[in-house]
Amino acid sequence: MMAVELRNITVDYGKYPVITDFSLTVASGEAVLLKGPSGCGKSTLLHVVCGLIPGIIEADVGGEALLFGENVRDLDVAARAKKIGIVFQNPETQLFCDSVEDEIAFGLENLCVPPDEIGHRITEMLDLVGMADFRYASPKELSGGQKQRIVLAAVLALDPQILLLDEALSQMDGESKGVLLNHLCTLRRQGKTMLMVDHDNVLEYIASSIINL
Amino acid sequence: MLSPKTDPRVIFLLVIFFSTLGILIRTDVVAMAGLLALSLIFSALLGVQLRRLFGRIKRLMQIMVLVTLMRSFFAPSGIILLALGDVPILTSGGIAMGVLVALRLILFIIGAAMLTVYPARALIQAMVQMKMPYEMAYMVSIGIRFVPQFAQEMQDSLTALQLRGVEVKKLKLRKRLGLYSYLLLPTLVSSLQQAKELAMSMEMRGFRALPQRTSYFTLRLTGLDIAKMVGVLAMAGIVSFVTFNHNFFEMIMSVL
Repeated sequence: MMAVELRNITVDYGKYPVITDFSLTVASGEAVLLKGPSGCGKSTLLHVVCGLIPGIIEADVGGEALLFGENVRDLDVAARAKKIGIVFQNPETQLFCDSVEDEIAFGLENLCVPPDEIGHRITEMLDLVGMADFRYASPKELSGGQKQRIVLAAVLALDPQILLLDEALSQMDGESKGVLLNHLCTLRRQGKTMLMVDHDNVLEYIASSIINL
Repeated sequence: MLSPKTDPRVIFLLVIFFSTLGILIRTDVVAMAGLLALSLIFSALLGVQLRRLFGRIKRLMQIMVLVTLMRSFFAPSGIILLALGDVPILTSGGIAMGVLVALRLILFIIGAAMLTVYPARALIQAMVQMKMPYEMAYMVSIGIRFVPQFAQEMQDSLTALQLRGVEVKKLKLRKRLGLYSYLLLPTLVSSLQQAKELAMSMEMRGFRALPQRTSYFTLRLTGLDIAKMVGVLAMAGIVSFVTFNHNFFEMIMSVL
């Protein structure tokens, strides 16, 4: 069964279609990189995959988006959060808690993970993104790259089956990018499905296929 | 006594007491001033930065003057202190009402400031543990967070205009108001866009996925906290009795 299946997707925000009749299949464990110029609809596609379009973002949508054979529109919030994790472009609007620790705990608390387990996952994720020293820091005090690392940690903590990355490493320095790319490689080897959008060529190293829009 | 280590639920109770009484006192300026003095003592104990707070309170003077003049003109009471012919401009009743409104607003500001000594997470958890739906607790917390953000965006837009050579401070009031109205709409749209992005991020991380949620961080009421709550309730009872029982002082005097 395909992890992600887009069938004849057309998205129109009102003036003109951003995406027209686009189809894509991503097998389980595959890492697909979407490339293309700004405004070509890369982020829009990710929003369609995770059900934000037309759920929260208003747009006329044609076609179907399936996750493991189920239409994304038929999934409730809990099922979606377990299946899909998305890191958006702007880290500023994804961090809203007082501390880094709370930020990672937020999603886990929503999915009723027991507190002890939450503590373990926070430690594990902070080690993973190299931010263990910032556990009690306020996200407001962090740099753009550090914020992106925290958002990534918060999403990875939920252990979603499909990971969507919308320019998720764009503000990170070279060293941080290297560490996280290594981890993304490991995730891919473990069978995590990934759909990535990036202007950089850096994610090409972990992509199993590249699609130019 | 109270300190920032006190459970936030105790402070919620205290703030509810001050705000309720602040609304219920309708005409008694002395009672309002007494209540305000009491709230200042508690906020100092909690570590509220009073000096910073007074800076904001100064702006309320304009409201006080406005209420005084309007009350004197539209509903004159007491002694007429200043009049234009038969039209009263300033009355003692008007001054009392102006002072009362200003004191009430200061009381509310101090009440809100008492809560700011706690991180938002502690306040949310306190509301959740007081059986408030967690969606509502987050809504309140994030709503409060957007107020300074909105102000910051407005300030940024003004700075951008100044960098382009517009000297906002030198503009006449009418032109300045027009400028603000031009800036307000894009700032509002930008704030709404940010709120939408935040909502998307929260939903994708499972917010409202299930009717209940676990809490990594929990508050535990200690015996001392319970004693403080009882103390606040007792104080509320005594202060309310003294404030609203007008015969209280006469009663004391007759006993003496």
